[in-house]
Amino acid sequence: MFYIRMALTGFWRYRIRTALHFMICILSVLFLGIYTGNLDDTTARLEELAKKVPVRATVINLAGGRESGLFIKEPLYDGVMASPYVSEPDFTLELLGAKGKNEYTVLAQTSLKGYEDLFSSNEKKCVVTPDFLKDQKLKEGDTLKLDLKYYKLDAESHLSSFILPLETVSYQIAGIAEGENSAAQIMIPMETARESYRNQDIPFFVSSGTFRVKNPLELNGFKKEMDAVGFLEIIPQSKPALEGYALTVKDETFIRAAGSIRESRKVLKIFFPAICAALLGAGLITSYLLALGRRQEYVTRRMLGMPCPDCIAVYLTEQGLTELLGGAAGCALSSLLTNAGIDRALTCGAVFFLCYFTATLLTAALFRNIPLH
Amino acid sequence: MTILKAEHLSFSYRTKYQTIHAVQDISCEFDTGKMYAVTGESGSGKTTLLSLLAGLDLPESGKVTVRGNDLSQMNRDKYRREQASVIYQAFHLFPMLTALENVMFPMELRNMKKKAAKERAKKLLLQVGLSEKIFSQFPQMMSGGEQQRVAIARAFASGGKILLADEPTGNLDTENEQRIVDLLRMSADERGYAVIVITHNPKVAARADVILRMQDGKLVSVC
Repeated sequence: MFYIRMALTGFWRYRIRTALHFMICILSVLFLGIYTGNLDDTTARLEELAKKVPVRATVINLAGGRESGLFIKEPLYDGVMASPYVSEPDFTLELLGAKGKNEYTVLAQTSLKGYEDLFSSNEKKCVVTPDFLKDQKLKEGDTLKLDLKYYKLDAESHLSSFILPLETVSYQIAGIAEGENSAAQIMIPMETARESYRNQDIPFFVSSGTFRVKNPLELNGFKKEMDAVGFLEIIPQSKPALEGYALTVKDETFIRAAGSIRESRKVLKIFFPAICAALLGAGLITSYLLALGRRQEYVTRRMLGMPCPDCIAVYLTEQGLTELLGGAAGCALSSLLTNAGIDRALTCGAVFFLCYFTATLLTAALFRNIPLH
Repeated sequence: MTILKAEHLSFSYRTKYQTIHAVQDISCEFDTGKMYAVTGESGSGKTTLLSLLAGLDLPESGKVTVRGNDLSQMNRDKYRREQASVIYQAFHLFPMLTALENVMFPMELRNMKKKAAKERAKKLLLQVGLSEKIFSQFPQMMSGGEQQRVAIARAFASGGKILLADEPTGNLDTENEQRIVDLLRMSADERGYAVIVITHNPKVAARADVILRMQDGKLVSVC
C-alpha cells in the first residue's frame, strides 16, 4: 500500500513529466491507429473494388472468335450454374418454333428482366413480343402451341448446323417482352427446353453463356473451378468451330487495380515490425530519460534501506500506470478520430503497451547498475 | 559500548587502466554516545570507508561488524533501514515530498502506520529546531541549513544508533554549520548515537571526541 502510494505521489508530484509522458503515449497509440487504419482501408478498398469493377466471363469457342450460336455442352452449362463462384448467369439456347406455316425465333433463357422467377423455373410459360401477339391475334394468358425445332451441329465440319424437329409443346403467354428483352419473338424458360431435349433423348446444348464472377477477390478459386468444370483456355491457332469449350474472363482492369492495392498493403505490412521497433525505441528513450531524471531519488531510497526490487517496483508502477492510462486515452482518441472499431483501437493499445512496457522493463534493469555513492 | 567495528578493511576500485587502493587495512571501533571525525586530504579514502561502514559496498578483505555481527552476512538494506543512517553534503531529500513526508519515509518503510509516522515526524522536526511552517514545504523552498536539519530528522527516524555523515556542513554557511554540528553533537550526547562524520573542516573535527586521520587509504592517526 505504501509503495502504491509512493508511485501515485510521484505520478502526481511530477505531473508535468507525467503529462508529457502521457501525451507521448497517446500520440504513439494514435500513430498506430492511423497505421492500422490505413491497412484496414486497403482491405476495404479491395472489397469496394470487387463491387465497383465487376469481372465478367463469357463462354467462347476455342479459337476465340465467337460468343453466340455456339454448342456448349450440358456438363459445362451445369458446372457454371452450380458454381458458388458464379452470379447472374445468363445462358441462352436458340430454337425455332413453328405455328402453322410460320416459323418464329424462340430463345430459351436462364433469366429475363422482370420475369426472373419464371425463367429460373420449368413452368411452361413464355414471354412474347407485341408483334408476335398481333400477328397471331393472341393475348396474355392465351395458350400457345409450338412445334419446337433445334439446331444440331454438323459433326463433320463443326462449323455449321442443321435444323431438326424437337417437340410440340404448349406454353401459356405470361407476358410481353419489349426493347432489350425481346431478343427473339418467343422467350421460354431454359429448363422447359431441356425437358424437351430429354423427352426426345437428344443431347442438350446451350448457344451462349455469360456470367459475373461473384467475388473477384476469389478469382483464382473461380478459375480453378472452371478448369475442373472442363473449360479450356483460348487457342487462337485452333480451327474455327462452333463448340463452346473456352472461357474468356474480362479481369485485366480488376487485376491491375487490385494488384496496385495489394502492393500498397504489402508495403504497409512490411513496415509493421519497424513500427514495433520504433515504439520500443521511443519507449526506451522516454523511459531512460525519465529514469535518468529520477536516479538520485533511487539512490536515496536505497540509502534509506529500501530494497532494490521494491525501488524498481515503484518505478514500474508509476511508469506502467502512465502508459496504461495514456494507452487507454490513445485508444479512445484513435477510435474517435480514425473511425476505428473498438476492437482495432484495443488491439493498437495492447500492441503499444506491450512494446512500451517492455522498454520500461528493460530500463528498470539499468537501476541495478547505478552505484550508490 | 562498541556498536560498530572495522577489522582490517581493504577496498580497491578497479578500472580498465588502473587499480586504486582506496582503503588499506583499516581497523577501528566506534562506540555509542561518541562523535568521531574522519579527516584527510581528498582521495584519502574517507568516503570509501563511510560506504563500507554503511554497507553500501563490501570490503575485499576484512569485515565490518555491527553489534558483533558481520555486516556482509546481514541484510544490508535492513541494516540501513533500522540501524544506520547516512546524511550527505547534498542533503539528498526527496524533492517531490514535503519535509514531513521526507521524515516519515523511513518509518513507513518499516511498516509504521501513517498516522503514527506523521506524529513522530512532527516531533523530530521540532527537535532539530524547525518550525511547523516547514512541515508542508518542499526541499526547494528551504534553505541549506533547513534541508540538512530535515535530513538529520530523517536520520533519527530510522531508530538506529549509528549516524554516518559525509561532509554534512560542506554546503552551509558558518551559522548553519554551527547548528548542524550542534545537532550531531546532541545526537551523540543525548540520544546515544555513534556519530561518524567525514569532514575537511577543522572546526567540525574539533567538536568530535575522536579524530581519525586518513592518508592514502590508511589510518595514520587516531586521537
